[in-house]
Amino acid sequence: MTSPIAGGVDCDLHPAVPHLTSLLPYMNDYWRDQVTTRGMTDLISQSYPVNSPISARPDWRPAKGKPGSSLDDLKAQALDRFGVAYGICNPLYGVQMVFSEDMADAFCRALNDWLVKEWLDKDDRLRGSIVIPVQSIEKSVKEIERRAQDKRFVQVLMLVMGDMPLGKRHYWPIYAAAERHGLAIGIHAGSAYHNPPTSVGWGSYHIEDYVAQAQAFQTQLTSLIVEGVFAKHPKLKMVMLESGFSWLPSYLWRLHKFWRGMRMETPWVDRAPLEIVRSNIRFSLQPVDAPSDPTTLSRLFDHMPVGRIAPILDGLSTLAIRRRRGAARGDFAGSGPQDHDRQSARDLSPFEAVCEGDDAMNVQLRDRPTLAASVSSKTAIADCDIHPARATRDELYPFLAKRWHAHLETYGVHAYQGMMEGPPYPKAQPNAARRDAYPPEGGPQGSSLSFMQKQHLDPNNVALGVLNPLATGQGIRNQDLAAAICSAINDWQIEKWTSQDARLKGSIVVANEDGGAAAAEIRKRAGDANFVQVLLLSRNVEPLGQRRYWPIYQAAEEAGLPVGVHAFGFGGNPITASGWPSFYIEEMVGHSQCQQTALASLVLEGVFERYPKLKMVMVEAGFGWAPSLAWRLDKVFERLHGEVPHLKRKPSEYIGDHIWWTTQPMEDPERREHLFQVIEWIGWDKLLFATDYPHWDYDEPSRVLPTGVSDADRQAFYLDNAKKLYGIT
Amino acid sequence: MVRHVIASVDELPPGTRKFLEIDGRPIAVFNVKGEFFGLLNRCPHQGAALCEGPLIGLAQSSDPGEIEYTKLGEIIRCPWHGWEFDIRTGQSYCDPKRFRARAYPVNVERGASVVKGPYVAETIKVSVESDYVVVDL
Repeated sequence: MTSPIAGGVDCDLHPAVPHLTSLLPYMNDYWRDQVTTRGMTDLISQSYPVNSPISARPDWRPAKGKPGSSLDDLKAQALDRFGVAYGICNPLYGVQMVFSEDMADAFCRALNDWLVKEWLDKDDRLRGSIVIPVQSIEKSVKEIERRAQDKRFVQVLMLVMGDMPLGKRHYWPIYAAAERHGLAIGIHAGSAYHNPPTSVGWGSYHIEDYVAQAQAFQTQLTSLIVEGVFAKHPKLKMVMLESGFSWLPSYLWRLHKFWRGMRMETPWVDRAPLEIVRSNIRFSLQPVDAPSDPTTLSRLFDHMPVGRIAPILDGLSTLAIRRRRGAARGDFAGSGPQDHDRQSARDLSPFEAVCEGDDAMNVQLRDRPTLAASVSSKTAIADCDIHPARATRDELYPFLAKRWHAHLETYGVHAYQGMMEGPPYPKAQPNAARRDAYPPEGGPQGSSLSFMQKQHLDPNNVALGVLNPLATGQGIRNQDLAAAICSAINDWQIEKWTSQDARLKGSIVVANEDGGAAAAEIRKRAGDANFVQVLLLSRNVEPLGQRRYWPIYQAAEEAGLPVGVHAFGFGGNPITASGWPSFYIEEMVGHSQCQQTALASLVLEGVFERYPKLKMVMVEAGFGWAPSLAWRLDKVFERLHGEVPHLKRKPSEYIGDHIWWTTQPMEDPERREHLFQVIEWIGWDKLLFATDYPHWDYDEPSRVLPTGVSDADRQAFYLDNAKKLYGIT
Repeated sequence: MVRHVIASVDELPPGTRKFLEIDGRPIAVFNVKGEFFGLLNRCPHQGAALCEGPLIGLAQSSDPGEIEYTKLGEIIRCPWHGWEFDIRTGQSYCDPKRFRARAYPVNVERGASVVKGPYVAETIKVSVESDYVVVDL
């Protein structure tokens, strides 16, 4: 049979270093002695245990030694067999894990020289990637300069999980060097393990780490785009290697949605993110994390911003083997005039003053018609994500023991992040909320029931509103305080909201890091019709499937209450697997990746085996990513199920049976039918409409679903799914 | 097109905006440093009351990290999703091909000419000595 890629390029081959000692001939005397006298061991990464099914196909395993360590095998199994014209060698050797930049530099230099001598010199179809010691920019650039003269190097190789998000300006000299030499930057799956391998902490299993690669690629793409790497280096091409790609369309819909509202935060991003992806990013195909049926694949390729599959392959081959240019930096104007003075005063105004009256540029004469308080004739909806706020800090005190009043006044809350007041990433609008949602009587948006009724519940005909209080006791390091505040918030929900308006239902907030206290709070509220779910946040000290959280799931299952997992929270882990990003848009887009990782953990830890009646709702993290995550989980599970024998079914089946999704912020593709196709993959019966009132990324009920949806699906989407899940008649 | 007298100039000093409804359409008229602008008070994206947003400047950059901040006070930022529109033209800065806010011409006319018409001034008492803000709709 003729190879379908005969004459093409295999963009991701992995020649294996047999042992660290194989590099000794390529080290200087000092490092050679360091390795031998200190007894350094082989640098095998956690990402690829040698005998794991993920590390080699069974029929490609040699009788002894590491798979990929023999050139003859590589020729027979890949180059000759596939008939490719070129193969690009991406050595995945654990040099990035080393903590000393000096040692990493010595090992990278040796690795690159080893690749030349042992591989590139021996088969002229082979091309190479320059491995760099990324902790040191200076040494990385020097190594690129040293090896770029050899035109068989076509790419610089970096790992997707490192010390910092890859868009950070710190890394730019590397990109400048690559652009100067006409080299692509290849970003390969894998971690330096300098940060936890997921954005929500350390999972238990290799399978989790492997699934998490896809989320890491997503956060890195956001970083690269919004930091302006491609505005600065328009000719630079980056290749996502072993990234999977079925996550790309919904990821881009989400990024595009937030970018439109936060354009001013990163104004050098002067075209839509998907256009940047189209012009500067390429994806290798493996692993195809999608079902292999032609209908699904064809739909998926139709959703891809790069069109169908062929352009991807063409893009890669022309990229990798193109003639390397010399210096190719485009012309850019120098820095423009800045005007910082005027900005500050407005943005720092306290929330009470922002909207009206204090600002010379923004005085409003409000003789406009006031909001009609009439009951709407619109179809009734359920809003499964409403955020009630406190009008004042001490509004909670009547529900808190006296000792905590003094404690809060003296110490405030002790969070898992640095800011005493305000969020670590400044929001898009004051209090992250609509600027037209300030109650006339004062206080922040969402703090007045009467105004919420007038502005939202009545005109939008909300028949069921699920309250998800944020800024509760969750994410507080002092566990006694956490439990006290959570319990107070639950009392406050009854007193101020649910007892005053029968349409509103509360969520039981619990001290998320203290399973025992959380379970006790759930049991205390069980059977109370004021509450319809238990509420957790996505970012905790550990991934949500971990055992410390199991008492919560047990109590929720016993109480017959779904557990909502709302995006946000801080649990002490950097919010990407490569550390802390720079911008609010990265945090916002990143909620989807954190949620994916949290859900993967729930599935892989066997939470749904242990609690078979448990239902969970993914709140405010989008849903477009759900099919891709389930496909990826299934695909990895096929190979690595031996690691998780407690799972009796495919991951996608647990997700299908146990998970619901709130809709906001609904992904926003250019072609709406793409969204409907994604919904069909998930099921119209699994989506719960939500507005996120009063928050700024609110979805307006009348604008969410265009025509073309059947009445039954529309009714399920807007109301019936929620009533059924939450047991509202 | 009908010309509507919506306020005397004194009533709408620089830095203020006036909300009104003309023929069932919600309109806001702004005085930005002595220049007047009219916009439909409805965001073309999801229908928010666009003109309740703050007037800010236009951040642009041709070099990441270096920001040119111009058109100070001429960009309206939607109170919901933060989309930016040019108050002069209604141009969107995040999706100019698909969205545009509706802008209306606003002029200052002498009371003497307003009295002659053809103008609609339902709620404004016009005197020949004053200047008036007139929006074309």
